[in-house]
Amino acid sequence: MSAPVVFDDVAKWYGEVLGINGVTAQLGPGVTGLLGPNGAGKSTLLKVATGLLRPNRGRVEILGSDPRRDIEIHRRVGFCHDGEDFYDTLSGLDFLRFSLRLNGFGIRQADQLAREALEIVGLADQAHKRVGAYSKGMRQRLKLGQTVAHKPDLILLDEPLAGMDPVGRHRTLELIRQWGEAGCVVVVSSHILHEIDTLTNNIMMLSHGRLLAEGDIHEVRDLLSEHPHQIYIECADPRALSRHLIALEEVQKINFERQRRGIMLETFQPDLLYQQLARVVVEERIEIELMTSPDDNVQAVFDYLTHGRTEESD
Amino acid sequence: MSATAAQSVPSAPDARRNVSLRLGQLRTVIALSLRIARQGKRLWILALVALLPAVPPLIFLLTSVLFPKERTFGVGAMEFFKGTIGTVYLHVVLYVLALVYGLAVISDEVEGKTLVHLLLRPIPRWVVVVGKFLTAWLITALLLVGSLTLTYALSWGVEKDPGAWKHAFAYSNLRILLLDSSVLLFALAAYLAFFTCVGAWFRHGERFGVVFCFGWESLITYLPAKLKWLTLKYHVQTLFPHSVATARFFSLRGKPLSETTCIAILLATIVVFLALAVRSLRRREIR
Repeated sequence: MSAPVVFDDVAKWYGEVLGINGVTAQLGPGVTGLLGPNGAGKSTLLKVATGLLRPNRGRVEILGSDPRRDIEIHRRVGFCHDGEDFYDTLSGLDFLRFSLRLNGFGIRQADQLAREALEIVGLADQAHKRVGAYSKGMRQRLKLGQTVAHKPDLILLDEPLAGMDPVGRHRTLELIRQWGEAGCVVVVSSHILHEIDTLTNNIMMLSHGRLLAEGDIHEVRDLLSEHPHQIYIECADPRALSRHLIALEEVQKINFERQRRGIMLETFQPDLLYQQLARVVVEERIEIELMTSPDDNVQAVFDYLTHGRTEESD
Repeated sequence: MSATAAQSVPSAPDARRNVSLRLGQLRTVIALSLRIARQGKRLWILALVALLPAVPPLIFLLTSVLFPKERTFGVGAMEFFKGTIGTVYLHVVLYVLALVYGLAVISDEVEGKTLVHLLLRPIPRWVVVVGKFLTAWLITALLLVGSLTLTYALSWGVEKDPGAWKHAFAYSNLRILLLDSSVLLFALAAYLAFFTCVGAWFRHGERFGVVFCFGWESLITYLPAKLKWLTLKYHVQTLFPHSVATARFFSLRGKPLSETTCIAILLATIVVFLALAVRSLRRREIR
């Protein structure tokens, strides 16, 4: 049985401008972050997935169907696209009711689901207000509402946090997490990497229309063998700690962070180093105040990947 | 969400063979389009255009009320009404209504970037096109019928005899009103379908539409032989129960087409151009 979302060597270009090229990936249940800078091809990929764009090459399979041929899959797919245009004369509630009626729901059910969706996205008190009078953040939430009102199995979100205030962002991230935990296939695109960092470890990274990496962020990081892992440690006596650590063969380099009583270690064997570190800390009774891996995150991996690419092209 | 969806929301029925579902979706597209059109400026501007034919008989009526001795228009009410049909309605009102509303059927959604809301729903493209086409036809038909009725009523003001208005209710006269209205509504559907197609395929269909209406349709009918068969106007003119042709002299050559053939051609026009509009929507991509 194939994955819910399959891209097989998918390419799309607009005239001479490349949208995406040679994207091959399979996405399963849970949240997947689709990452890349503006113009990387994220929106193009999502539009190809929903059938709004026709790929020039390759195969797209969504829930077992070709999205350009089988319109019925839209019953099971919700897409929060990047546009901000609505029928401005309609109220938020009416817009959702019409959308649900078009999905085939009866009048009562459409009304019930529309109200539920507005409640979920926090627009219940603005239900009867004209969409034309909605703020950018409210429009974004309404778009999110129409994406999930019909309770789809596959949710595709193109920059869903754009234009939202901090409270709206927090609420939306929480919703996305819940949908993922409920078993939905959720794909969230963003160019703000730390947003995705808090949401999922499962990522797809695009740059210049090409898929740079796909899978668990930590596994992807481990594959970048030319870049040593960084470990930052803060403690009461960083000099004492560094004296013990410098003797370890797993440690490539130690930098002192004078401003913050910390040291930055670099290693190509992070797993072994963590074991040795635990031993040293216990034996020498060193009190660790903070320990982080600053480059074991989406931003760092993305920087490594795109930096390498830039150098190659240079 | 799949788990909750399965529990709380019965999935919508399989639509492939469900005619009632498609009809329901068609009704929803029409209701949605009517809601949007109702609040647009276009409706009110075109309502004024549609009322233009009623202005001359209204002016005549007012002057004859104010100056009863000057009541010398020289033609009867029905003659005046038929003349208005053959000139103002057929050559101006019909074109303007069909051109403006027909071009907007799909292009409004494209330019307003709202088409995506329809294309992301499990509805066939033909439902979108037919639904929006029927909405455009309903609106323009209402404007046209209202205008025709008003013009018909006011036309009785041109009669010399002030008591002649009673003939407005005569069966023979009402029959002409009814038949003329029917032909114009049928013609409206054909022109709307044509312009729906133009609006779906071309970004700036207005120029083409103006050239078609006021160039092709007008000039070709003055040319001899069968060239005029390539216009919609020729087939529409054939269906009127009275003469409205503007170039009878050139029409002498060649056997005229029968009413049945003209009806078939206009019906085919509606079907073919709507099908082409559907094809355009199927091929369309949303960037």
